[in-house]
Amino acid sequence: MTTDGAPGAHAREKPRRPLRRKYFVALFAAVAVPLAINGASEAWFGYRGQRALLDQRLGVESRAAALRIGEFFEGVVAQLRWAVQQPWVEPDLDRRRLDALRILRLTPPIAEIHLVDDRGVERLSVARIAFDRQGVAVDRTGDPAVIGARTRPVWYGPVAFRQESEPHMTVALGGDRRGAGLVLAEVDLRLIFDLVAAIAVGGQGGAFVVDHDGSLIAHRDASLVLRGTDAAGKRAMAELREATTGGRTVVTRDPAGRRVVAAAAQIAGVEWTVFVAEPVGEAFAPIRDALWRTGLLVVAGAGFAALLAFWLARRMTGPIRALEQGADRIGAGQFDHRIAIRTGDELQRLAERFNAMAVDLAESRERSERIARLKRFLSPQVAELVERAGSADLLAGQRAEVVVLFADLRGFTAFSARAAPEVIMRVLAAYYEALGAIITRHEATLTHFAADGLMVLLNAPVPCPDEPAARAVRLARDMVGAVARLGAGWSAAGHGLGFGIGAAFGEATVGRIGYEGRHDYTAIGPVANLAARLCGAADDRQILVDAALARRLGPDVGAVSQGRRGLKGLAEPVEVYAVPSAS
Amino acid sequence: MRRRQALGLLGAAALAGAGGRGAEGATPPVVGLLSMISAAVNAPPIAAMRLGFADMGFVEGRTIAFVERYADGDPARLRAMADELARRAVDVIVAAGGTVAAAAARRATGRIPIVFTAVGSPVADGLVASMSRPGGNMTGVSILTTELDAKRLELLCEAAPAAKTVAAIGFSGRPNLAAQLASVDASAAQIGRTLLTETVAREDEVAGVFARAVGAGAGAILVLGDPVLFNWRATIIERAAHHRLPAMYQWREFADVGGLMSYGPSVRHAYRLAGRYAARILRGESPATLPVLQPAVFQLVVNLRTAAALGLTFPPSILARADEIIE
Repeated sequence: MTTDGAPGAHAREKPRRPLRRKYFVALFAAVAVPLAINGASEAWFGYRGQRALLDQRLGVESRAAALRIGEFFEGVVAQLRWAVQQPWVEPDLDRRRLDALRILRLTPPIAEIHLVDDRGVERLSVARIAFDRQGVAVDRTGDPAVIGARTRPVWYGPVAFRQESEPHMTVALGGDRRGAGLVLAEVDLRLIFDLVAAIAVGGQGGAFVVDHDGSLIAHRDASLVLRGTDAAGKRAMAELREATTGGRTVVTRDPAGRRVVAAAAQIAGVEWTVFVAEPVGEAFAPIRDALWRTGLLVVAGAGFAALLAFWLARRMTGPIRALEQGADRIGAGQFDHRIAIRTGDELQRLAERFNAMAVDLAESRERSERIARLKRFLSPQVAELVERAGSADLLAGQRAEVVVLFADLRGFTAFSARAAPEVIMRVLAAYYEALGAIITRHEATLTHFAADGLMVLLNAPVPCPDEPAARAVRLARDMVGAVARLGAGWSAAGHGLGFGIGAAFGEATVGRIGYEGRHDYTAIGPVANLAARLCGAADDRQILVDAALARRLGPDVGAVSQGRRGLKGLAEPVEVYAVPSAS
Repeated sequence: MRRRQALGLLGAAALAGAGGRGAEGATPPVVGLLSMISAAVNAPPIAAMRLGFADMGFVEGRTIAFVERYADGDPARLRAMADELARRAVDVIVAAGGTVAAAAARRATGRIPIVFTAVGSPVADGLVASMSRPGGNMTGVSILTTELDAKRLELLCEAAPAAKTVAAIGFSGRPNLAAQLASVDASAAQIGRTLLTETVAREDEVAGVFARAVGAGAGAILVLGDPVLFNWRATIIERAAHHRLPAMYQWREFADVGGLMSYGPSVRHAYRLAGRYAARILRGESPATLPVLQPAVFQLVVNLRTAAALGLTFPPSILARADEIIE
């Protein structure tokens, strides 16, 4: 287990959809979406309002322009009425001529005046360019102007372009009194140019007038009128008139080719339409400004929301990251790590739980390390027992009645001298594997092994539940059996190895000895020495026990006294018993 | 169409050149003024033309410069001056003083835009394709010089009903003079007058022509429109006064200095419009698509002092018509 605190590989890869980003998106959306909706609705209603205002303004302008042009004709008509005030009386011709000349003098737009009597005969005419006529009866009964003036108060003729350039029209009207006759006037429409040019709409807007046919009659730029209107231009104007009926405003191109917002009004009397047009840029400037304002507010709001969301998301995910890192470090074995979260919420509680878990884990690891150490000389079951019992006390030094059992291989020194190292190690591996399993099975304590010899303790540190002597015999027999099975193979290989066991019963001092984690549990006393000597004296497959042990065995074991034998290292001979290696 | 486009491009190029120079501030666009009439006589109309440029926002000396050439009624000098202006590559030429100036300018250049002023019948004289769309490098202002001759004759006869014979005097160098005189003759026949037609080639011939007309029984004089005659107006008026002849002139500039009566459009206004047109061309518009302007307003000016000197009383119909009465 690593303890350097490096997080595991799994912790290093980034999450596919990190919490921080989710928090950020959610928080940002919570502010920005309502803001955007608000901005959009404000923009829309602002646009609607401004557009309505524009429609209204252009509508008013167009009606005012129509009124002014209407007044122009009313002025012309008012002057012409003087000419048909009195009934025709023959000697009056000169007086009438003077009246007509005065009208001509006072009304610059009128280029010619023709006076027609009730029969439809022209009696006199005055003109600015043509000859005047007087006393020359010209029959005008078929003239549309004469017919028109008889059927309606004022007849306005179609617009004619002289030399395909200058717009003129005929205005005709009759007198109120019987016999007053009719007056026909040729009106030079160039005189309304100045009138139309004077109509200003906003800063750069203006007015233009088209007749029923779609021909341009008046425009601020007179040359556009004088140039004449081609068929396409007439069609465009007719379409524009169609589009602007009912006071609507449309975005279009004016005769000069500029993009404008236009509204139209009909001119009373003549079948003309006056358009007022304002350049799009100027007309929509308030709308554009409002949209900009709203847009900037939305952008600024979104920016602020992003900052706020970023900050909040960081604050919210910060503790989670601390938790994640803490979990990584604790998981990596750094049990002394503590997660410091002081948010006062569930996350802090979670962090505290993590910290508590780290404490538990530290304890648990300590315990398992202790068990692992115990397992070096205790069987797993005993080790667990010792651990559960609260450890150290059981391993402390004490006097106990124990069975000490030694076992080793016969002829191992010679074998080890001649055999190859790998052969030796293979033999030993098989040997300990077999014996270890048996020791564990019998819950004995392996106190020591070196080369081919090993020392096993019974009844310590944990007392055996049954008779330790009987258990020692069963253990010894199993060992002999196991090594005998190995020995068959060894003999075949010509290793020439035998196996002997010696065991003794008696009081010994048992306890843990050693230093700095290298501890052994061992038994000290004559019984250990005796067992070792008995082992040394045992033949191949022989189990030698001392008298104390033999006495504790039942007769069924069949321990046979070998008489007193002098044993190396002992001052006096001792009685030795052989236990049959198979029951 | 292709020609018109090409001319449009020329106009645009002219603008680019003018704009470029204007931006530097060193050399503003140059207007070449070509006048048939002498500087002294033509000063008020020329001043009006300058006003036309001012109307369009040009400031003389800063954003516009003028090169003025006055031929003093000499057609040969006029042609030489037109060539000179063309060589100088001015940005626009204003041809002041009738068809003769316009024709001289056009002969000199087909490239530089030309704005004419006070031309009688630009279509008939072959200066433009049509009034609504001139189509070439020329446009300008027409002042109905000949169209109003009949009306002038009528007004003259109305003012001087005793004169049964009227002499019409024209400048012999005027293009289409014969047709003009024939038309006036027909008009005279229409109102029962006898017309004597007299032409004059030099200023020193004026006296002889007047004497001849009086000798032939002329009771009134109709002075036909021409920039050359305009240039000699003092002599003409002096001769009319000398012979106590009622005379009708084209423009108020004659009545102002002692002519009995004049009927016609305002020459000054025509010059002012020409100035505005030239300014628009400098701003990039093409002369090909600027319609020829014509006056819509004509003024009858009568001089009561002259009438009194002649022992003439204007009838009410003339006084009712008169836009201005000089007392």
